[in-house]
Amino acid sequence: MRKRLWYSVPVCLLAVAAVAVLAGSAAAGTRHAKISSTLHVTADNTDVDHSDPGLAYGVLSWQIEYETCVPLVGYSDVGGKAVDSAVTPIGATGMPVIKNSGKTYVFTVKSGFHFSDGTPLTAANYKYAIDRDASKTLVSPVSGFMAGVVGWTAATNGANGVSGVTVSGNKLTINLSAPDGSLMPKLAMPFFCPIEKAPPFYVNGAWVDTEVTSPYPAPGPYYIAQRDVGTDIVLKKNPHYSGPRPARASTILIDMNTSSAGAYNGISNGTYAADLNGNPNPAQNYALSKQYGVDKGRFWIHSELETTYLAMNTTRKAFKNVNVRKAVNVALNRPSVIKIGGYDSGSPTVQVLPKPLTGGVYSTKLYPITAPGKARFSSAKKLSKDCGVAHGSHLNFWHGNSAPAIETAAVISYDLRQMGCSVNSVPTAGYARYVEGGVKGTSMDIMTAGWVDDYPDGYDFMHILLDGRTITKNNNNNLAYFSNKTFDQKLDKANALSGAARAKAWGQLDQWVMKNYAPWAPIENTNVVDYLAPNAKGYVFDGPFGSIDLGDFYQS
Amino acid sequence: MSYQQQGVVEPPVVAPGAPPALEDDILQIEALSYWQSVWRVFKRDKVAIGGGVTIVLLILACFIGGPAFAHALGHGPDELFNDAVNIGGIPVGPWSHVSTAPYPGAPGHFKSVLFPLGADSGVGRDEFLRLLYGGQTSLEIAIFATLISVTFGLLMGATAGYFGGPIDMIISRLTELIMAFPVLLFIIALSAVAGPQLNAITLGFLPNGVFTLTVVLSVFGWFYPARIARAQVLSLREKEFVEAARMVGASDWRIIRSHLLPHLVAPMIVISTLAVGGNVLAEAGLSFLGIGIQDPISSWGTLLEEAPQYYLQDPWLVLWPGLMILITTMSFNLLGDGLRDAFDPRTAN
Amino acid sequence: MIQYLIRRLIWAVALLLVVTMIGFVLFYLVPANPAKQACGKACTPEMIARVAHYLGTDRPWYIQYVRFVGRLMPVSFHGGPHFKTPNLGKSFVSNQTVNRIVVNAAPETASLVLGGVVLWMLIALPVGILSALRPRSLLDRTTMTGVLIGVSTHPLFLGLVLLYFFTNKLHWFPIGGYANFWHPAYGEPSGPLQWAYHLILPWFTFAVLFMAIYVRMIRANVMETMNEDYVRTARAKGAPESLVMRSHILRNALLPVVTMLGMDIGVALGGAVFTESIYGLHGLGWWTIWGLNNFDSPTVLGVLVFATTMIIVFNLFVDLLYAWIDPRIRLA
Repeated sequence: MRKRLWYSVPVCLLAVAAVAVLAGSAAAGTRHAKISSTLHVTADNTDVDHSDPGLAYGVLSWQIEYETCVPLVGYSDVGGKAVDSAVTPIGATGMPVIKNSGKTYVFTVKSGFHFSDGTPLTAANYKYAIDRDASKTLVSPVSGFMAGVVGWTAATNGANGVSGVTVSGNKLTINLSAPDGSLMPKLAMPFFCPIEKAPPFYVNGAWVDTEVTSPYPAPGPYYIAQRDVGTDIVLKKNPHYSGPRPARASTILIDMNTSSAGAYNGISNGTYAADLNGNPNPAQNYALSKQYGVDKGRFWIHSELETTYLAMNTTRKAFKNVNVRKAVNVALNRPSVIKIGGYDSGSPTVQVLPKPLTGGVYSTKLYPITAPGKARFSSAKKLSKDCGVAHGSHLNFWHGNSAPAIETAAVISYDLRQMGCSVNSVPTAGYARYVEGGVKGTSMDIMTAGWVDDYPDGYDFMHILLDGRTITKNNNNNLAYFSNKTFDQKLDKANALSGAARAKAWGQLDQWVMKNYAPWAPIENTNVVDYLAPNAKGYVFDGPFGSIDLGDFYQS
Repeated sequence: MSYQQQGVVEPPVVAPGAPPALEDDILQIEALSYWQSVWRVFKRDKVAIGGGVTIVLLILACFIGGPAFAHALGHGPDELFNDAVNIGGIPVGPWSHVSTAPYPGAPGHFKSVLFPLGADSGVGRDEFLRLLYGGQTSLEIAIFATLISVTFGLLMGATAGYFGGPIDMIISRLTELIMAFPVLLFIIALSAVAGPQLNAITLGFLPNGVFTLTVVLSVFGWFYPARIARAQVLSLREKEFVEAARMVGASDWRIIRSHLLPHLVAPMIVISTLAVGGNVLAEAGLSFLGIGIQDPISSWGTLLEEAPQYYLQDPWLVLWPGLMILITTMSFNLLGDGLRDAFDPRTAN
Repeated sequence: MIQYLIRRLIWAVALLLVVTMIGFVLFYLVPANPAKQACGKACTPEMIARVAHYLGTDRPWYIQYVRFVGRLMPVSFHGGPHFKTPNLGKSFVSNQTVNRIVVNAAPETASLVLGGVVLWMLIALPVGILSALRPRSLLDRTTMTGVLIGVSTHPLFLGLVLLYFFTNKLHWFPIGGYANFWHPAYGEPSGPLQWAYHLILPWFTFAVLFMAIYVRMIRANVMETMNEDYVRTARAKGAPESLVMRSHILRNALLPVVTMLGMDIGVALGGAVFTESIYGLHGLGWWTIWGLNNFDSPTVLGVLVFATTMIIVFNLFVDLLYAWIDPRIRLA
């Protein structure tokens, strides 16, 4: 027995070694470079919020829907050029005929598009999507934008379909109860991607008005062929697509929820063409910019229409006083926060709107954008009279719980403490923070938040985020709970304008509210930073979607 | 074997008036008490002594060295320095001189401070000080949790073992129940649900979040001491001296206190020492997941949580907290093993 | 024996019920309102109420719990008793059935844990036995030092260090992820070799702690058994050493190891959380953390119930095995 035991140890070691050798040779086999008709990308630490077109409301899901959709109107991209921000007809033959003093829009749907299963795309498919979006049980977020459509509210209350939207032949008619200058950009949102009256949306003679997580036929250059929640999405080329949009790869494989290190390594060794969630290792930005240059091939930085800010709850004792809110703007260390996101990951701002939406009325002088020193801290402390909070109480600071979010919160907490506040740090999961903060009357004093434009117009920010008339019991987006009649009047006036005057009015309103009321402490306008694999080609950045155009992208 | 045990050999009885020559040749051996004999054995275990000394040094370094170094370096563990994070957002490396200027080019003259181990993360605080102050947090949690769980476990186990019957059944079933849980998953769940409320409890002197982790670790840490205590009490319960005490009329409580508890001290000491090491590991894991300790308090686990972000640029950030945890746990394990050997009569030769 | 079986079965069912009750009560108290989360950014209160009704979160907790347990059971009494698939619930966040999540996650955790068990036993058994046979030799001292380091190292630290050296610096292993043992579509690495290749570092990271504990336990057990009276008797009777080893020492020393193994599966499932986290293996532990970070109570609850069920079933199996081996229990 002793002898046999002696053998067992070396035999075990041999076995382990053998497996390692075999495994190593298998691994070596996969390191050969190959020309691929598959585009392999990843999204680190995240998944799409939904793949159901009626519910999808995130940058990543919209980036995917841009490939699967033929919207009535949208943003044009032909021949590998980046999309511009003007809404143009895509599924429609041309701009709509507007009648009835701006209350009726008639679209003619182009013929020639087909779903991935061969079914031709008609006007009826748009109506199906609209009716499904408005259904009582689906509860699509787009309903918050579409109350002006005749019959929409009735549909959300249980009526069968939106009465104000009708189909006749290849014409789609939308009736509004009042003119809406932003209907066109709203229709460009992927909520209005056409769907088929077939599974998985229409099963056993009835519409499925609850979330659909399975693949579905789509009319765009690609369709979703496989979906594993939390793990991946696979897009395949639509064999029946005959439109002008490019579709270089025949399969697009998107791995979700990879680790940051795994994604970064994967890009560096060519497994992943890119990370759709941005450079997964932002601490490398500086090194990458030095090694590859910026916007030259492997490392790209684009600005997007986004503002990250601190919302200060104006209904709470701490931030009722405008001087305390202004003091936070003085004490805030914007450069440090931006550094945490990586080199050149954003530019500091003290305004609500990103610069392109302000019509040129943009300044970084309203409040200091450099890092504070002892002098600024003491002036902030004086201005706020020691944070205005009674001794012993805490500011409840809600923030994210990812590693960079915690670092950001550490910097902000430090600034608040130097100002004389005492801070209670409350880490929360990303989306949950908005939901909870959106309930009126919680203990949230101050929270980090961000807003990306739904469509490129100042109204999307000003009305949704700062209009006091939108405040309800819960699910608010006006996280500062800011309510000011003068502001509302100015807002309505600006909304009635159009063109350059409109943009300028937004910029002026922005500076007015920040100078006089400072309901926010804006931090930065973030940039999208992309790090590409050595074998990635065809990189095109779509501005309105703030993301890589997957149809142009390929690996070789 | 037993003849070799120190203290058992008795001095020879000498009749008065006998010649004294024999006495001079025989070495007078004193009887040793239980604790003295334990100490003798323990003294011989150099490695265990090393572990004990390391623990004392660690405690001194964290609780006294921390404030001392903060005073000497001129800044605290929670102070932010912009210059400690370079332009790429990467914390500076070990032995860096960090300027106190708020930003490069700020008007005025600013002195530099020394960061012995560099900065901790993109926030720009002193890693060395956070390591020492973090040790305070980690050790506090581990020690308090151990004290509570061992005390509670001892009581529960002794009660169950001594009284038997329904009390024993309830307590035994309870320990079996907890062992059926995937404990870590349950700890994560419990912390997430009750975390925010627990984090706010400071009892006046503890940092935020320490109470949460202490409670959570205690709740799941008492069943092992309880099982050992119960087993020990069960075997002692039937011994003659307990029976004798009962016949004399001693109450249950007196029997437990005077006769049973002394025999439990040894195993409980051993368990406690090993449990502290285990709790240090457990706290590190939970803090890594973001449970309990909140900013700006640091612990070895939170330092381990911030470190992997910079694994490409500053890989040593993982090393400092990891090594501290390793050394601490190893020391407690060595100490516990040495104590166990010292208390065990069979290894006393 | 039958009595023992029935008692163990009843106890297992009772355990499961208590576990589900505790888990459910815990998650009903989670602050984030699932209905609001499901609704989205621009929702009115009426919409939220509708979602709450649809999801069932507007009913009292005991009604929700009864429905939950009913869904979990493999039998249904609607329209006569019949078998049905246990339903672990539906995620409010992703609207995915937890069944589907578990079906995808369980093989990854199982691969990690079972592979880890095999690895640590393969090493712990020979090393522990050899060390016991040669106490205080160089082998023994080295082993005990290794044990000390093994029980003192957190799998987190070990995993991060291994990742840095073996994947980042040396590029010997992939930086994480799971390769399907069978073949998935679309060009992902797959097959048994890739599966093992991706799991080598995770197996090692996961196994080290248990390896150390088991080496120590096996060594102690064997040493203790070697000093027992019946071994001395057997030797005195003239039995060959190999027979003494096999029939007396090993059998009695290793029996407690089997019990520990069963109990340690529960601990192992917890410890796997860190390994899964570092190496990006989307197993049960990973999904628990995902569910908690996203305030998705059905996922956490479903995974917890599934994991605990597996542990209870496994422990039951081990107990029965033990009863079969140990005649003292069988005849009780």
